[in-house]
Amino acid sequence: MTQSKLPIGFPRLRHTLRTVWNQRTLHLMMLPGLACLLLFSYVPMYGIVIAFQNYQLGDVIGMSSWVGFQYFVDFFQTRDVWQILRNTVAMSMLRLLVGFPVPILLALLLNECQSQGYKRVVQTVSYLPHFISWVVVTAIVMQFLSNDDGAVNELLLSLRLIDQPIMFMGESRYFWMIVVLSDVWKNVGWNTIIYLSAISSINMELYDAAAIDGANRLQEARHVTAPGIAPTVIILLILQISKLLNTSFEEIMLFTNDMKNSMVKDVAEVIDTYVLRYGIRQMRFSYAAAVGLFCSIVSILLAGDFQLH
Amino acid sequence: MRKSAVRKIRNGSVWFDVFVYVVMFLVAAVTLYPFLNTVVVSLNDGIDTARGGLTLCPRKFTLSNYRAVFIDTRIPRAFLISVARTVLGSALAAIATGLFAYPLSRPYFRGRHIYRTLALITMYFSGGLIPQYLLYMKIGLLNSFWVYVLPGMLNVYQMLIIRTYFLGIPMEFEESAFVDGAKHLRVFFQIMLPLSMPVIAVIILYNAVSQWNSWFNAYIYIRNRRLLPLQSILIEIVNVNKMSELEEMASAEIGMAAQQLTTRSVTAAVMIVTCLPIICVYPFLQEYFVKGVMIGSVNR
Repeated sequence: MTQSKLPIGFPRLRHTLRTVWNQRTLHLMMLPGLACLLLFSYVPMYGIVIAFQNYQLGDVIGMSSWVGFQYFVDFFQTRDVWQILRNTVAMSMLRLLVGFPVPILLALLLNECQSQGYKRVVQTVSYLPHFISWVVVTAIVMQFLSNDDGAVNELLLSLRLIDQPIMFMGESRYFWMIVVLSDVWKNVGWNTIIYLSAISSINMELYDAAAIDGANRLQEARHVTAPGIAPTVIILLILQISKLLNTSFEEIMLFTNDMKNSMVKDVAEVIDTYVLRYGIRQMRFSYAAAVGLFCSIVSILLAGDFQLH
Repeated sequence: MRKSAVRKIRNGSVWFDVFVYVVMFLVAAVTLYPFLNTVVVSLNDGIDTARGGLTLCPRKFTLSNYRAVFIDTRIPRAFLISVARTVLGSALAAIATGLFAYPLSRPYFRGRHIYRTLALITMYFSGGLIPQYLLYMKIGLLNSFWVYVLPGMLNVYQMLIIRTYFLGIPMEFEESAFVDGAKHLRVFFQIMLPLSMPVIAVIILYNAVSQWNSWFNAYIYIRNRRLLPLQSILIEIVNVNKMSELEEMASAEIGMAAQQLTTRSVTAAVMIVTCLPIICVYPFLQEYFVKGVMIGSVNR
């Protein structure tokens, strides 16, 4: 009788607690990782509140006075806002237009290579820049584009395409293309891996069928391989689109020498560099947190929206 | 990979093959030439390099550029910092991530869904740069070596990859160990870790490379110049203004005319020193990493 009067959750709770106690080693094993997760991921998430507050250095986070959406409004009223958004979106779009198709084309090309050994050598070489740091890569690119004795200028001069060396890093019109093409150079080989693995999972019988129908290799690539990797392409395209406001941050910082290169500053300032410069250098923490939050909300919306379709 | 090798190519025209081979050669050449040229510049006399036209073969061989690099007091120190963060960072991350993945892969572990959700949320939302900076300031990670190691210790994506691998290991191994009286920790270190070495190796290598190549967290969080990694020193050298100091120091010590070392050749030497460890492990990297990408894509 007395047993049945107890609330139903009670024995269940005791059972749960006992299981947790019996599995305490497992819980303890998760402790280092869990502590990292809570401290370095969840505490900063709570820290976002300062975007809606007037945080001053020394305040306890979350205890400053509330200002609502003040800083978001401020951001959209600054003189530079449209320029920054334009640079961010323009570089992302260029990266999408140029950087996205190139690995697909290279993967299709590698797939057409008849000699496995040659293919493997080219692949091995093409992965290399992916593992080299951006510091080294931007240094190499700047050296090759230098107007002094840079290889690109020397080549163009010797081909008589130009008669004056071009100041690639000193003129704003080249900057976006330099950023995007360096990114392509660094990652194109690496990005082919995923497409090559998609190609390798295409059913061989489709090629046989196409061959019987008299398709040549270009037609096989066009009508068998390309549709075969289409799902992979679409998934990666969605991932890429959701990164619309996350530009090549490291690369831009290195190419502009932390925005000290005033020649290209007008085309190089993007949201990430703006947050860094205003937030950490000028200590306008709340303002910069609001700008950063705006950026990540747009990313989440883009990702979510495209995944629905 | 294997299957595409099996594919027999028919109806092929020779011109199409020639086109494929030529484009592939161009891709390889465009990728490799900048590195080779940098090696050559680093091994060539500075003034001679300034005459231009240096391509794939040194004209006036010298090692003085490298000597200048190692005389600079900043570089050996930065090298040690880079090595320390690479070793510590990748080892601690592998241990913490593995320890987190193991209980999540046990079907009898109570609460695994809560832990998993907690971890998954952080893949989609993050506080962003400014709240992180303020946190590091409050807990004293600014200007501390540990800012390189601690924040990245648990990578959720890698944790899920390891967990998937653990799930594939038959439960019988674990059960027989339990019968023999082993506890969870022992099972983890003596059965699960050795059995999943392929995936653990990929993750250690991946983290080691990104630790070695990382400059950004030093750039934001470190003011104490004695804690800067090699990449940060390379940035300083590339941004010429700091260069004269290095040239003077080096030429005073080697007893050479300052002009013999040019910014460009010493920069090239530092670049090679920075890349060298990566190039040394590259053969392993590319083999393991390709597997790693496959595991990752299957997981997704």
